[in-house]
Amino acid sequence: MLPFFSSRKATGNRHRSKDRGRKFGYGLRNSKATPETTNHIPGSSSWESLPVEIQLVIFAQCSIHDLLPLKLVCRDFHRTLTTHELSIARQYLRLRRHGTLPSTLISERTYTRNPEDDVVLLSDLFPPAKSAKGGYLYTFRYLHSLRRRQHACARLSHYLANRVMDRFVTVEQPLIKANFPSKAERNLLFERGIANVEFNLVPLTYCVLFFLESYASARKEHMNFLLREYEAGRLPVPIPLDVRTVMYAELQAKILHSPPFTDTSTLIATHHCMQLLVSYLRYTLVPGEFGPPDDRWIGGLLTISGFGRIVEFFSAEIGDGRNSRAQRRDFMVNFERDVDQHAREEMNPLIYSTPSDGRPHYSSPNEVWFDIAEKELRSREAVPHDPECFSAWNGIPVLIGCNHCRATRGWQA
Amino acid sequence: MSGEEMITLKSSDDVSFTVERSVAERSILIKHLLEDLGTSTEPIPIPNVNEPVLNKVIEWSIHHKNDPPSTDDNDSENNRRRTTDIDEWDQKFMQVDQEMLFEIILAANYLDIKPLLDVGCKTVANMIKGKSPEEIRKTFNIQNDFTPEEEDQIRRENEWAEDR
Repeated sequence: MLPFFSSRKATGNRHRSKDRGRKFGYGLRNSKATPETTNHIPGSSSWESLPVEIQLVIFAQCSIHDLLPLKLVCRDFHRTLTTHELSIARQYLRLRRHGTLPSTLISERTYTRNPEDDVVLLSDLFPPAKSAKGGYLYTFRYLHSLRRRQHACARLSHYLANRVMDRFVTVEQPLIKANFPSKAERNLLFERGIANVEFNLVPLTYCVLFFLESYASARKEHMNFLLREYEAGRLPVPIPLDVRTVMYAELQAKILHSPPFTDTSTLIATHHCMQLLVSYLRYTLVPGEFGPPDDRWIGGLLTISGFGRIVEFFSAEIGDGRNSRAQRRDFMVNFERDVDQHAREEMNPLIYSTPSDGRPHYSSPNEVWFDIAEKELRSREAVPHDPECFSAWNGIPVLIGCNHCRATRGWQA
Repeated sequence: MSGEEMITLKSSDDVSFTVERSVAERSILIKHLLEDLGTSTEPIPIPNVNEPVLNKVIEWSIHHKNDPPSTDDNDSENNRRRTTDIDEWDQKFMQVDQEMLFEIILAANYLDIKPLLDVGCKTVANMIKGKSPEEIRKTFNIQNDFTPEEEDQIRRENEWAEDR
């Protein structure tokens, strides 16, 4: 049922009153067909005939990037968009979530992993800030934050899919040449394979992003707690590295005991996506090029820099249509800045003791996700389990899994 | 011709249209009215919609008369299609001048034909998408009543939105 009705007056009798009966279908008028529906009348705008409620529906149908240009059109538009921001943002999200909104109750959220429901999952994982009354504050800024996350995850999924298919065609070259004799066919396999793997990876990367963001904010909150403890005189000596490692493991365990990871299939799928991510960081990393030769550097990238920098790393690795060398240089500068910022803001020497060699400590990849996730999977008796199976093209199965997966027919990415 | 009950609708300018009941009932307003009235041979006045607009609305209703009825917002397949593009027939149907487009939207709103209202609003949204403020003004013949200082201030307040 429509919530609103037009309050406009009758359009008036523009046509002479003719009480003539007519069967519909005879003599349908031909509408004036114009490719672009513009009709300029100096000094008047058809837009003014639309009630505010309909304007809001139209604005909610626009893209998120259209909202600022719309605000700049005229004072009326600016006023409507500002006054009704919460309503438009809510409608915008409702349209893209097939008619629903995130529940304020965590237990009632959806956490679907259907690739077609990506906005549902993303907004359930990252709901808006809560108002004082307990409801959600839907704002354009919140929608932009979702869009940015969606964009970052789509890029990472694309880059990972590209690396997976690149490795597939390299490793399985004889088989592929036998089945796809022409270069055009092989190129098609490559492109379609990327699209299919990417499509299936997107929801898994949302869960990876959620974990990394949640872990980063949990560490920050924990450090602020310890700082308060120190200021109250309850922290006599800085915390040594081994204790810090245990504390960090507990923070991660807490995240894995909360939605969406309370669903074991989501935990397994995210574990497989993390495995894929770290494997391909290892494959693409030339020892010593970006930092320490061991893969603690990868742990640093996952925790110190976070998701956006990982996307930047793969973008530099692939080239992504730009100067790969310049991108790698930019990446290195940004990574060093992340390390400096981390040392300044997170590794407060009053709270955490400095390692004996004086060098910054990077968590190993096992200390980020893997040890805790594997422990959690065992405790839920979810070992062994099945890998994620995506079809690259025409039933060629690509498996995304881990060393706890059951043997399954397909190519292990 | 089927043996379905025929309904007569009368536009604001007194033009009558005789249509099958299932076509008329694409409008929830008329559907409820017919339910209240029972069987009636009297023409139903549509005071807010004139002949050319009612003609278009009926054309749309005939084409979509066998569509499943629209439901409230829920997780149905119907809703899943909402964010996708407008179907080809509807796109051609909406290729009208801007005044007619807005009249169709207002008629769909008045007659409570949600799918037609959605298509109309999507068509207008598509005319906005990707355009600059100046292009939007030109499309809808809207005057810019901002001072340059006000425009700058709005841009400054919304800097976070410019990061694509």
